[in-house]
Amino acid sequence: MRILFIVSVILMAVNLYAIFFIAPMVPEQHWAQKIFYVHVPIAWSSFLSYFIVMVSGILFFIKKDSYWDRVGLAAAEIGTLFVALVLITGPIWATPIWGKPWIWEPRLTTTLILFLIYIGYFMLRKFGGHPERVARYAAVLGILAFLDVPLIFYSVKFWAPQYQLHPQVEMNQQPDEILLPFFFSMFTFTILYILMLRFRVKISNFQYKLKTKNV
Amino acid sequence: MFITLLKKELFVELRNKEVILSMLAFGLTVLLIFSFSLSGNPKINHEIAPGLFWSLVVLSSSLGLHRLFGQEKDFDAFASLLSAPIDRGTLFLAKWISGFLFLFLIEILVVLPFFLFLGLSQPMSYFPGIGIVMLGNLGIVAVGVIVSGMAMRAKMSAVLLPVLLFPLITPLLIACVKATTGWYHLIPFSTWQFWVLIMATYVVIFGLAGYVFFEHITEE
Amino acid sequence: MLNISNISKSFHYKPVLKDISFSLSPGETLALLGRNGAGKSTLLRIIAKISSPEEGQAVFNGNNLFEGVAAHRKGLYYCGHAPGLYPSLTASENLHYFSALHSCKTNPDSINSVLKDFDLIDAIDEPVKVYSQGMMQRLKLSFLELIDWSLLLIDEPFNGLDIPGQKFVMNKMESWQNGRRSIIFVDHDINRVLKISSRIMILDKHSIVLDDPISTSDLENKITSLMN
Repeated sequence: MRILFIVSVILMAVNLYAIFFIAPMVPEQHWAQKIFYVHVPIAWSSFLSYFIVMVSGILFFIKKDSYWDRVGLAAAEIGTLFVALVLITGPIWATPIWGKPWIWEPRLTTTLILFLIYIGYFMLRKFGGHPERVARYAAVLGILAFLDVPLIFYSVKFWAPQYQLHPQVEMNQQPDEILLPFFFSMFTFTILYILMLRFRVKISNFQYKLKTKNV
Repeated sequence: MFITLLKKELFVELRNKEVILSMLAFGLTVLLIFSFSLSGNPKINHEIAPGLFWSLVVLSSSLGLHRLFGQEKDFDAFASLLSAPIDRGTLFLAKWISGFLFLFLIEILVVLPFFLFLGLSQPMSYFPGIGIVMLGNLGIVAVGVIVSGMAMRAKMSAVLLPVLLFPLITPLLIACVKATTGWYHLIPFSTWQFWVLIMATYVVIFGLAGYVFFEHITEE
Repeated sequence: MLNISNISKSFHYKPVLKDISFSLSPGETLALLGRNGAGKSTLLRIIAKISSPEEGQAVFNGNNLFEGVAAHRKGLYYCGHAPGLYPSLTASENLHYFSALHSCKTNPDSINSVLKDFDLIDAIDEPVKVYSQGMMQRLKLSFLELIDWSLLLIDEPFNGLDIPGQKFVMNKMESWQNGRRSIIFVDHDINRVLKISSRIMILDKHSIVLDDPISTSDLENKITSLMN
């Protein structure tokens, strides 16, 4: 894991340099547009994280190993942290670009609803009872939450399109100078995410070992 | 066995009316709040009526769903149910359908005051509306039974249930309001059939999920 | 008839049961003893599939109990601390309903005769929530005269009963022992246990510390020393 840590530090340093100095300034949007290189990769990582929560939940039921509950919790925590960042960077980006901080844009709205679902998830973890039972509840909720995602996305998308006009970033129309740093940023943030996840699971495993030894 | 379970659910509820009364009382109270907090302009009410109706349903349902397992919890009849040789998925189905019926009954009771207090005009035809309401109920109660089953053994269950339920049913809520608007405002079906599809998909996914996962939610 | 292997259960990371294994043959009446918090009720609830263990298997009449197949629980009846009844239904309604869940057809006559036998006929139209503890205990046990069962798991059957009530239950438990049915019950009274059971098991510090048939010599002293 040390190698992973070093690699991700280097990658992130390069990434930041690329965002600030290599990627071109987009006219009309200037510095605000640069958030795009951070906002989208974080959003992608959060969805990846919630997918991992669902997979961990399924594996928890199949393997009956509490390790998968710890993975699920770690993925839920990091995913929710990233989602909070998306919900913060989104309006920061939106204010100069769209003129107002919040529009019910489908992806941002899906993120908000997922955030609220996961507030419920952490409340369930806290108040659901003893950890052995809570693990089962959390696994089910994690699975239900991700099953809900496509439904949330499509229902919000067609909910009020006349109020949801916003400039879409058409990926295939972007020039290479924007695309390359963007994909590099996606890669970098994914590596960072994997590092954070492994680190958190490791801590969780230690805590579990401490709690269950000598009893 | 499903029929036995369902009959019992209805019979017990008929006897003590916990679920129905809590939903009815709360529903009427919320309706009163809506009536006074809005401008009273019938034209505006006509525009937003579908949204108001589903807000009312969702809010009332959270109270009723909280008491759905009330009788099983009080004297631990749940232990007797779990140890009996009955399929847990079937138990979920019985709770789902009985919850659906209770919610539907409340809607029937509340719909007349709803139209009266908000000064709404009668719909042209009732049946599509009833179909939409039934489909929406199935979706809300499917998730509600799953969440209620989890909250039943938890602390702060009265708070936990809506906190878990409401975000999960957001897409269903959007679809229900859209479909009801389409029906009530006489918009051609082809425009809003997409929303009925979303509702049906929702019901199928969460009904199946409840049937499969109820086994794991119910044990201590 | 019942095979328990390596059952482990924890609450808040503290183990309550660790690697519990034993077998039960038809006709045995097993008394489960132990201090408070030893895991007796938990073990019964796990076998009744109300609680799920972290590890372990339970095989009942050749069927895996933890597989989640309802039919595998056929013949198993659980009686816990709590009444396990619907408070707003009457005795006969509860009897009728739960018998149906165990696939046993009942008619008003059979229910009435059972209620008479268990001295509950006077309260026949009252909802169960007004019953005294003794009445509820008798009602719980009256099921056993109506349904077809082969394994009874009963948690403190004498709890809260007066002397006549305790005698009544003891007689009933003896009458049920017909060589084909098995009972596992939790109790605290050593003398009573020595009278009605065929096997004694003591749980302590998450494990089985005693598991002997009633005929074992010096059993009473063994039990007393372990329980203190």
